[in-house]
Amino acid sequence: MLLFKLECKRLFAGTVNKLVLVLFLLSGIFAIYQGALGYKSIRIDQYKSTVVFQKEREHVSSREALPEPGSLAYYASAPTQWQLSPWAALFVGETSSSMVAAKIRATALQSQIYNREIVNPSQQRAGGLDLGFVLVYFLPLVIGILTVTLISDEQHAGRWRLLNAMPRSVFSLVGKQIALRFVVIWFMVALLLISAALLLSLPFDIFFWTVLGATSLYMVFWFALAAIIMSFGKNSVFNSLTYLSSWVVLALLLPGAVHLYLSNQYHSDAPLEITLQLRMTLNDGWDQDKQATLDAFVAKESKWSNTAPLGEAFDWKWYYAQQHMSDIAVQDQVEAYRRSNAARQNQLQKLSVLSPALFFQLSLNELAKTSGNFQIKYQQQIADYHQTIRHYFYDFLFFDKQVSRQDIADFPKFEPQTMVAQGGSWKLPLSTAVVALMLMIAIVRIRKVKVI
Amino acid sequence: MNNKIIQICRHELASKRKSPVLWLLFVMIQLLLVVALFTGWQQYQQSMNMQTKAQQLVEQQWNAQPDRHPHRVAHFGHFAFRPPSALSFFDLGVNAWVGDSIFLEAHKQNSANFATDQDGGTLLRFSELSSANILLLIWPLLIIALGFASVSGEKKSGTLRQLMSMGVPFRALIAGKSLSYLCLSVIFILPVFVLALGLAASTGAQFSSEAPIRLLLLFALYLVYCLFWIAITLLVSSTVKAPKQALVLLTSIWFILTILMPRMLAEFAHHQYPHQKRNDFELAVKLDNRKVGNSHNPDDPYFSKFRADTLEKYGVSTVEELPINYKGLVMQEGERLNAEIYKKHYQQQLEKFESQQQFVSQFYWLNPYLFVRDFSMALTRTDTRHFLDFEQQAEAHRYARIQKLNQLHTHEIHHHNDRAQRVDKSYWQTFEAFTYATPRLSWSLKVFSLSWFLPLIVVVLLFTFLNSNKMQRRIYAAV
Repeated sequence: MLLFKLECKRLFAGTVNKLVLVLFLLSGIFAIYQGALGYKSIRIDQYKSTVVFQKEREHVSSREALPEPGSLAYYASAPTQWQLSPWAALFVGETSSSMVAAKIRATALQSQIYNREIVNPSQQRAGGLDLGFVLVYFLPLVIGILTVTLISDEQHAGRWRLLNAMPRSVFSLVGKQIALRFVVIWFMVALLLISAALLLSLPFDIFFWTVLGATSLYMVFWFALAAIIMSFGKNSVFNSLTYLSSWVVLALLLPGAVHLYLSNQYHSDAPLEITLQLRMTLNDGWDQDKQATLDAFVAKESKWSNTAPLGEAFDWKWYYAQQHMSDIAVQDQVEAYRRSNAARQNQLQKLSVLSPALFFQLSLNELAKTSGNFQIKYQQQIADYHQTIRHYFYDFLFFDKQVSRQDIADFPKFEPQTMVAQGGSWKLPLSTAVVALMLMIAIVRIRKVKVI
Repeated sequence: MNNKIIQICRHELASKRKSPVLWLLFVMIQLLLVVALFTGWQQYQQSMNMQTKAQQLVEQQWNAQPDRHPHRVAHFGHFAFRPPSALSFFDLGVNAWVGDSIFLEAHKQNSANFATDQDGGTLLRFSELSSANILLLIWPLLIIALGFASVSGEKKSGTLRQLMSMGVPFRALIAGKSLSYLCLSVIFILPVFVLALGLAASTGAQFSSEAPIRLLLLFALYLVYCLFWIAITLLVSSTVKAPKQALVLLTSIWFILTILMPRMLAEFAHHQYPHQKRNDFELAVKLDNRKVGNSHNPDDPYFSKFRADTLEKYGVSTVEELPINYKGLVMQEGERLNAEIYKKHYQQQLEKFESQQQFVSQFYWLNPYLFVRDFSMALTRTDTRHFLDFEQQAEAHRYARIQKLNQLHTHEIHHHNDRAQRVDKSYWQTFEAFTYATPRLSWSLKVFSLSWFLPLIVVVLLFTFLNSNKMQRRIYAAV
């Protein structure tokens, strides 16, 4: 007990130690607060989009004469939403720079899907500070500063010999010191997570325990790394520099290198090419035989094949047929782009094992459903919903039905599907195995540390 | 005195030369810088190639149009592409988060699409590995590793006392060591700049007389940045008892200045001066457009008045009697109103962006990292301001192009049976291609006016303080 008190005193004695711990807590609180604000604005955006659309529908219904279906479809931009977990407030992932409530209408899908959120690029360049950042990148440095010089400091202060002379093993002493640091930092992390959960009213469910568990595992990794570095018995400066270099490589250089590799490997001008081709197809359609376009369309969408032939005047049904046919004209490219994106995601998952920081960051974003993977899933949902909207209008357009007020009220709503990450089951066993291995090496090596 | 400084400098350099770890680090950093520069160069060429090709393609598509109704051409539209700036291979700046192409069409202002920030929320937490980013983030760590023990180490090993007793003034020691670290910095960052100059020169047409000046300024900028870190390192090393403490403290300072603070400021600025999200922005523009009037509605008050005014101007009683096509006039008026409304809202967004940037730039003096980062992006034309300039140039081009088409509509198409008519295809050749006017150096640096002075003063002050009598007394008292 006495030793414990002494250790606690030592831990909190250094100015730098205290400074680092306080800074860690402060930036954690700041990140939670900013994250809560950001998440709120996402939810407002999503909610407002549905309200605005509801208002528009009421406005249309309140008119004396309802618009013809073609014109109605042209102006009906229906909201969708990226179904996020509330944890998105803490692990923002891609949500800060992409649409979370994209609007979609019955015209060509490919001319709508590449719209982006308005961002201040300078803010993106700065890097963003969510709780994920604090846990993934700051936490290891806190662990390093508090731990990596433990043995060398003892040696330096001359206590090491003294400790060695004592009946109890050195290992248990160092082990206790490390354990104390682990517990202190762990409590801080738990404190941050609990206050975040309370502030954002996150339930203490499986997600909470997964995040806490994963963070603990991540902490064990860095503690084990620190212990292994210490076990070489070099001086404090060597230990600190080695630990810092490992951090730079794992947290900064490897993710950067993975990004470079992926953008080189999957460099795709597809969206631009698709857009350029779509524009030409849409435009050329006006000069081509309109009946031929319609025929080609009903060959694809046979449900509406009983439609009457076109007359001389402009007909909305040709317009929408030709919009859809131009989507079909670029379908191969879209499909290739989709495959390339899926392959990119796969490759990212694989490469993420190179760096625990990248791995942990990616896992947190996946958990909050904010990763690139879920962005793609959301875009797929938009595409599906686009089809629902198209089909809804086709009945009116191709069978010359008039829109009633009831039809406007029955306009299909976007139903967000629950999105689940696939193929992530290997992550937990793998990371546990790696961390366990690191821990074993660390224990074995620390046991062997000799007195100098 | 000068002799002593040189001697100390030489001695310091010689001792660093013996350290294998430092050699290893140096080699690795050089490698990293070269790889970063090379990949940046590849990206630049790729993107340049694509943009040029795409721009040529759309110009060709425009010119190849057959006889057409001008309004159809207005909906056919055009594209504006943003060529990467000549030095973007050195500093990628905000390139990853902004789009490279804008679709220009009638009645609607699109924003730039196709950014390359896929998985940015996972992979770009520290931005891209550009040469500038490595110099900004990793180079300071190396300076810290070089110098954290320079005074505290001498103190600990007792050599400081010996030096002092030999009559070496503390000032000479500081000056000598600073000089040696500066020399090392120059040796290690010069190759990247020379290489960058070579690459920039090989771009041929893109290489303007400004590029060497910009590179020279960049070099000076990063040297000042090095000086700042040298000063901080020596200051901490002189005031702290043991080298280990100096190292921990310096690393903490590095973390706060280059990683924590920029993020906190950017996040805070964003919530303090929030700009509108896309949905809100588009809704606001739409609602304002609705308020002004609907040109398709014959009873619309605004356009009724417009019609009456037009008829009065030409002294006729119906639009059919007008010598010009009234529909074309309405198109022109509609486009003008729409562009004005858009501009008003866009300006508001710009003001928010500016306020955010203004907020961050208040801290230039406290954290030179911020200043160097932003100044470097301005020099390489890769900052937000340059991107927004492209957006505005594209919008100006869109407006001029569409209005020229509306002019054709007014003068070359008769009011009767308007839709069935076409104008001759030779008209399409009279439209000028979109070329991005690259901003001059003076424009690039305009926002900094005098703010570049502050970080410089900070560096000078740090060195003055290091050389002050007070500091000297402290050291003498400690040894």
